[in-house]
Amino acid sequence: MLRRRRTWTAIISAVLAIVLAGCGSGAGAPTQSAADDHLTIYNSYKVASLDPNESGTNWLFDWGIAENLLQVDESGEIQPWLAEKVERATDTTWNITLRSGLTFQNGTKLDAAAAAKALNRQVTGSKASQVYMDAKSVFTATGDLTLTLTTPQPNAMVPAALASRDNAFQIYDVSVVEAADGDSTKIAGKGAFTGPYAITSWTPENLEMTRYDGYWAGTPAMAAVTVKVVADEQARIAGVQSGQADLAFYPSPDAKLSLDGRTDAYFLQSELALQALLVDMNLTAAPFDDAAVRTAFLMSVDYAQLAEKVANGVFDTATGLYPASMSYAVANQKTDVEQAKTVLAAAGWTEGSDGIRTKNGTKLTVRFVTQAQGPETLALASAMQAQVKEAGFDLQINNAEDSAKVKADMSAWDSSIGLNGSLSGTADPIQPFLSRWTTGGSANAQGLSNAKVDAIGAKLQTTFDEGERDTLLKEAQNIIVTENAYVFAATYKRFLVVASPAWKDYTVSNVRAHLRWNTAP
Amino acid sequence: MTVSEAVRTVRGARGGAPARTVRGPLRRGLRTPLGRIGLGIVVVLAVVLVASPFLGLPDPAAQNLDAKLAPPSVEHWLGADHLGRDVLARTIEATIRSSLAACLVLVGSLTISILVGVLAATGGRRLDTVLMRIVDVVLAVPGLILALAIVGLLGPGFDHLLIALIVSSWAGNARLARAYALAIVHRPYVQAARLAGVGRWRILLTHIAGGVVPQMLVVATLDLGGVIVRLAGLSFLGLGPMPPAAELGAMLGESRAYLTNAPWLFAVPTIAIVALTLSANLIGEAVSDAARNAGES
Repeated sequence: MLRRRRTWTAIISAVLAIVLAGCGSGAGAPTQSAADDHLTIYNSYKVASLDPNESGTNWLFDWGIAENLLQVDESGEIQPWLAEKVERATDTTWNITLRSGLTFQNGTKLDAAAAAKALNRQVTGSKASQVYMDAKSVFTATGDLTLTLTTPQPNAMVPAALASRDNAFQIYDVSVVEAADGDSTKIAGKGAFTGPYAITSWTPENLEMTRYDGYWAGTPAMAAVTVKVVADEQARIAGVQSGQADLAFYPSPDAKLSLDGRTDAYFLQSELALQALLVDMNLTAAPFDDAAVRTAFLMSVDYAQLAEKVANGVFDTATGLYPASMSYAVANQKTDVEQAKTVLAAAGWTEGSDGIRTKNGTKLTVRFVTQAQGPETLALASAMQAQVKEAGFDLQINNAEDSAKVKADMSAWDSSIGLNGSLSGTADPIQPFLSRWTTGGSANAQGLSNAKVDAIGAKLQTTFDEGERDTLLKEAQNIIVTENAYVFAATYKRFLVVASPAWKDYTVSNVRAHLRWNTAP
Repeated sequence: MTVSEAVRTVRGARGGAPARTVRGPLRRGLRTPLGRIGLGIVVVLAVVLVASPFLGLPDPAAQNLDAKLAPPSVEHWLGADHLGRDVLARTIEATIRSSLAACLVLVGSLTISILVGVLAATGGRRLDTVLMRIVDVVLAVPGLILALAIVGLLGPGFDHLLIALIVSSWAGNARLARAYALAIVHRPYVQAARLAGVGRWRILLTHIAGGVVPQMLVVATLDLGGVIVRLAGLSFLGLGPMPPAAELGAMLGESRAYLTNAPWLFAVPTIAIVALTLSANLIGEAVSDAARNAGES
C-alpha cells in the first residue's frame, strides 16, 4: 500500500515537475535584473590561462582585457591601436611608434622598453607567435615611444601578426606575468594588461573584471563584468531569459527560431565573420587517404542547404575556402551528388543495399567529430549526414566535448568540422595557411603534407606585393581544394549572441572584439 | 523412484520450495486494477508499434528541411523536428529502442546479480566476503554517478551507455539474490538432491539459481521503469545514441531549443516516456503485490 502511494506520489511529482519546467521556460519578465553597470556574459569556452605565452588565452582580447599594437576593424582592415604607426623601413626592418600616455592597468607606464620586453617574450616563447614570426626576430626600444622590429628574413605577415588576436603579440607587463611563474591566479588582480577591463579574479570557468579608469581611449562604460563558462547552450540562453545574464555567446542558429517574437531575449548576429566552419579530413588513414573519396565527399555536401535551411540564413553559402569578398577567393566548391557517385564508383566503391558503399568488404564510414561547445557544428553535421548518404557515405557523428583531444588520436577520427578559420581574426590568410596546411604546421591536425603547398606557404611569408600574394593563394586553393580536396568550407559564419532586453541593441563584433571600452546597453 | 521424483516428494512433503516460475504472480498481478491499467498501456503501445510499418510513415532519419519544425498535419501526424524528420516515426523507433535497451540492461544486470548472489551464498565464507565487499564498494557510489563516470571513460554512444547502466545497477540486486539463494540452500529439496548424489554445479544451476530467478524476475519488473528513466536521462545529456538514431531522452534533449515554438517536439517523447514508465511500474507493482500476497516473494 505504502509502495503504491509512493508510486502515485512520484508520478504526480514528475508531472508537476514537467509542467513547472515548461512554465519556467516560457516567456515572461526576467526574475532577476542584472545591475545597470554590471555586465554578465555566459560563454561556452574557458579562459585556460592568463599568461599570453600559453595557449587558450586569446579570450583575453575578446573580453577587453589585453590589447595589441594594431587591431583589425569590422571591415577587415588593420588599424592602429596601442601603436600609432607601424611602418616597413626595409624588407627586414619595421619602425613602430606607440601612442603616448599609455599605462598598464596597474599604473605602470607602457613605454617602448616595456612593449619590446613583452613582444620579445612572445617571439621566443609563444608557439602562436612563431607561426607569424621567426624566433630570431627582435624588438628593440629605440626611444621612449619608438621601437624597431628586425626579422631575419623578409616577413610580409608583420602587420597581421601585430594585430593578431590569437594571443601572439598581446602587450602585457612582463614583470607581473613572470613573477606569477605559471600560476594565473597570481596574475589576476595585478593589472598586467592594458585593456578597458582588469581581471580581479580568475578561474578557467569564471572571470571577474572591473573597469580600468585610466584606460587610454576613454572611461569604460561598465563598472564590472563577469564572464562565466556555461557549457550548455540552452542553459546559456535560459540564463539571459531569467535575467541572470545579459549576453549569451555561441547559441546555435536555431536559437533564431526559438527566440523569434519573444521579448525576454533577443537573437543578434554580426556581419559576415572573417572565419569559416571548415571540414578537414584525416589524410593519414582510410578512407580519406584516397583523393577520390575526399573529392566525392566535398561534392556530396549541399552548401546552400547548410547555410539557408540548417542555419536559417544566419550563415552564408560556402563556395570555396575564402568568402567571395576576398580578392584571392576561388569558387571551387560545388555540390554534385551524381558526380560524387561516379567518382566513388570509379574508385571501386560499390553501393550496398542500404545505400552505403563498400570496397573490399569495408564500409564507407566516416567518423565525424563535432564540437559540443559550438552547437552549430552538430546541427550542420546532422544535415550533412543525410546529404552525404545520398552518395553512399555513412557519416557517424561524435559530438565531442574536447574535439582537439579526440583528434589528437589519429586512429579515432576521419573528418571533423570546427571554427578553424581559413582567415585569422585579422583577415590574414597566411597565418592559418601556414599553421593548418603546411607540413608540421601547429594546427595541421589532419596530417596534410604537400610539397607544392609548403613551397607556396614559404613564398607567401616573404611576399609583400598583394597582387602576387593573391596569385599564390589562388594557386594554393587549386591544389588544396580542386586537385586534392584536402579541406573545404562547410559554411561562412556570423557570430551570434542572445541578449537580454536591456542589451538588445548590442552590436555583435565579427572580429571577436566582444567587449570594447564603450560597450554599453 | 528417480532422483527428481525424490526431490519433488521431499519438496511436496516439507514445502517451502520457492516459486519455479513468475507466471503465477504475473497472471494474478495483471488481474488487479493497477495491472490492468499497466497492461492496457502496453497493449496500446504494442498496437502502435506493430501497426507502424503499415502507416506509411517516412524513414525516421529522413530529413526534409522544407518541413523544419512543421506542426502536426496530415503529412506529419505529430509534426516534424528541426531537421524536418517525422516525429511520430522517430518516436516509434525511439520507443522500440528504449524498451529493448531497458530489457537488455535488466537482463545483463540480473544475470550478473544472480551469478554473484548465488556464488556468494554457496561458495564458502571467503568468496562470500570478497563478493559482498565488492558489492559494498559498488553500492557506495551512487548508480547515476557511476554510470556517468563509465560513459565518460568509454565515450558517448548507446552501447557504452548500456554497459554503464548494467555495471552501475547490478550490485543492489546481487545482495537480494544472495539472500534468496541463502534461503534456498538449506531447503530440504536441495539437501535431498545433494544426498541423492546430484552434482554441485547442477544443484547450483537448477535448484538454487532456478529458485532465485523467478523471484528476481518479480524484482526486475519493479526495476524496469527506473531503467527506462535512467536511460532517457543519460541520453538527454547527450551520452546516448549519436544522430540520426532516435532515442526518447535524446529527442527530449533536442527539443529544448524549441520548447516555445514547437512544443510537440517536447510533448511527444515526454508522453512516450511517461507511458512506458507508468506501464512498467504499474505492472511491476501489481506482480510484486500478487507475489507477496501469495507468500512467494
